Amino acid sequence: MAHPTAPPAVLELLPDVEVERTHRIGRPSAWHLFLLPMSLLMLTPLVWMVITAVSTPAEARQFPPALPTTIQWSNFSDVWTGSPFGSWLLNTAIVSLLVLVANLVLCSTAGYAFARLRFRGSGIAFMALLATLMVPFQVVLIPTLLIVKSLGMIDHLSALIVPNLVTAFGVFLMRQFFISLPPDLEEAARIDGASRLGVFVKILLPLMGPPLATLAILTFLSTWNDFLWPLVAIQSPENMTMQLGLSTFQGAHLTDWPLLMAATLMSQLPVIVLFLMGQRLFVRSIASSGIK
Amino acid sequence: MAPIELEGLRKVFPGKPPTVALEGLDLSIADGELVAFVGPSGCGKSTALRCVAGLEKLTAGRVVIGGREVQELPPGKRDIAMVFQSYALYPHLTVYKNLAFPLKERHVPRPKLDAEVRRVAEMLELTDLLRRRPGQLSGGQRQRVAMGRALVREPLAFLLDEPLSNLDAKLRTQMRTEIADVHRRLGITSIYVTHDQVEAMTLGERIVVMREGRLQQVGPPAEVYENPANVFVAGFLGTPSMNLLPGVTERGVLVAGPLHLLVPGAPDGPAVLGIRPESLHLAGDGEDGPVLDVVVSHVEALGNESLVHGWLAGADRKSKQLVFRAPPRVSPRPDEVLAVRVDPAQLLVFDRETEKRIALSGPVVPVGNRQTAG
Repeated sequence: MAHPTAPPAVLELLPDVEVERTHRIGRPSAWHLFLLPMSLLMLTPLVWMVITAVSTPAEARQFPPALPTTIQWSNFSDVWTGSPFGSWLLNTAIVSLLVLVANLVLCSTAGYAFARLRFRGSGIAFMALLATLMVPFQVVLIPTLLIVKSLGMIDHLSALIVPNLVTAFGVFLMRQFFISLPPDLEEAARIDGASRLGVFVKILLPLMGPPLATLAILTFLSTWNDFLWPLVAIQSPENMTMQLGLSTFQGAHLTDWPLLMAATLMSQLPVIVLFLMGQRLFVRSIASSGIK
Repeated sequence: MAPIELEGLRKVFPGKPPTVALEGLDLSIADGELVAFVGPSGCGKSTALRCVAGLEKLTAGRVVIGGREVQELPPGKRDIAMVFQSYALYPHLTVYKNLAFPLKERHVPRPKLDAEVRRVAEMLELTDLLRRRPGQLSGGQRQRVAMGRALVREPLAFLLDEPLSNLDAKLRTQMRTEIADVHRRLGITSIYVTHDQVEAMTLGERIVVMREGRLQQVGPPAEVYENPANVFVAGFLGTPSMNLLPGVTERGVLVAGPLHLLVPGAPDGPAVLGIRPESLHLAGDGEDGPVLDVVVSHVEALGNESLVHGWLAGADRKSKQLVFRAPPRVSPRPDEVLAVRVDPAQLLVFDRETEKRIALSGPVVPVGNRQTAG
């Protein structure tokens, strides 16, 4: 495309990147026969949630499911007016943002310390930290609850924030990143007169975009969607987070599915918007952290 | 600008067993002098430089820069600048900001900072690149930015850790000239670490040869080359390396292979005869001297000359290897036997046990050897 004056023989030798890219994206392959139905299958719960959210309770109980005859927009306003949904949203946002910021600051500084500073027992401390990654949360649930209770934080948002200020996974992720950076950069900055903190803030922090984004996305998602710990630590409806609040729509004998699905859809909207905004970053962060 | 004094530098890296990287290094570097540290990998030259910079904590010893003891000070307080092998340019900053960084950290007022950055950029021909980032520069340009960042605040001393080793041969020669030029103009006391002896010999006003953490010899390049203190220095300096033939001295006569040489003042005992490649010539060039028969193993044709590798005829192929320069038209075949004349004027004798050079009381004189026709 970019060589109109070149003789045809030369043009044939030049790789036509645009054509190759078109082929790679546009040409259907056998994989698509598998991937397309799988994508539709993955979308099914989401579509079903949206349909249920705008149905009447009777339509929601139909089997097989069908499209509603009239769209019940009132379900959304019912959720907003009939429950402290605004408080749940605010609580979740406060908890998620504070945990997110704390993790970014503390995990990166702790990761830097483990990667670069030589101090007595650093190896053992790091191994101990890694070991905690292998302990499921259910195992430490009760001890955590006892600690939080002794600190007088039960049924308070601080109970959701303090135990999650820093995570072993986040420290590990950041440490691995710092290890991959050449130490020459820090040494050059130290010779240039920067302090340890100055090196961290002025030289390393600007290079930490990808790992910090990974940590931010993973921390935000896990905090936003956390259910088990808020269930144990919070009792008052006004202190509940979103996921805990959603569970109140589910009764022992009767569940109002359209309201539950409307609330779920509303609770997931911020996450969906975030995902659409940073889709590439999200996929890359999942791939780079090796978890799902 | 300041003199540098290194006194009894010792650095031990912990481990099982601990690694002694530096042992008893004493050196005085004069104000404005450029000293090149040279030696093979792991000899401690970079460790010595890092100890001077403050990037490694000394196990023992003193570092005095400009009359001030600095071994307990952090790197930023030593008023030194360093150029790294990898250049260590800050990838997220433009060339301008890279050059300005050391000044900014020292809170230099903005007008002065700008003037200094532009002065250094002009000196190193970086003015057109000030808005670029390191990723958009060639190897040579990056190297110049690294130099500029070190020079911008006029430090007391300038430390260079193999700054040219990532460049191709042509660029290396060019940058070598530029470094020599910058040093001549600014006269900053400099320590230049390299494993490349050509760099060390051409840039250093004095060279420091190191081995296994210990200083082997210090002196002007020509003096160290001509009068190496020991077998290691003799073998390390010079391309190709010095030929080393084992022999025995008895009653003032050294017998090494077929050579019999009068070595006045040499003690009896096992010795090593050192012959520079340039002291060996194809016989029949009209000069006198003892002759060796050399079996050719292979020839390296370099265009302007040929390097002929071989071994002494009648000796073990591995133990008595020799290399010498020959005119470019000479291209002997492998296993061909060549008559090679030895120039006795430049021969060196070492003690085989201590490996130290033996100071002779008179010139080496060949006795009872096969001689060229003259």
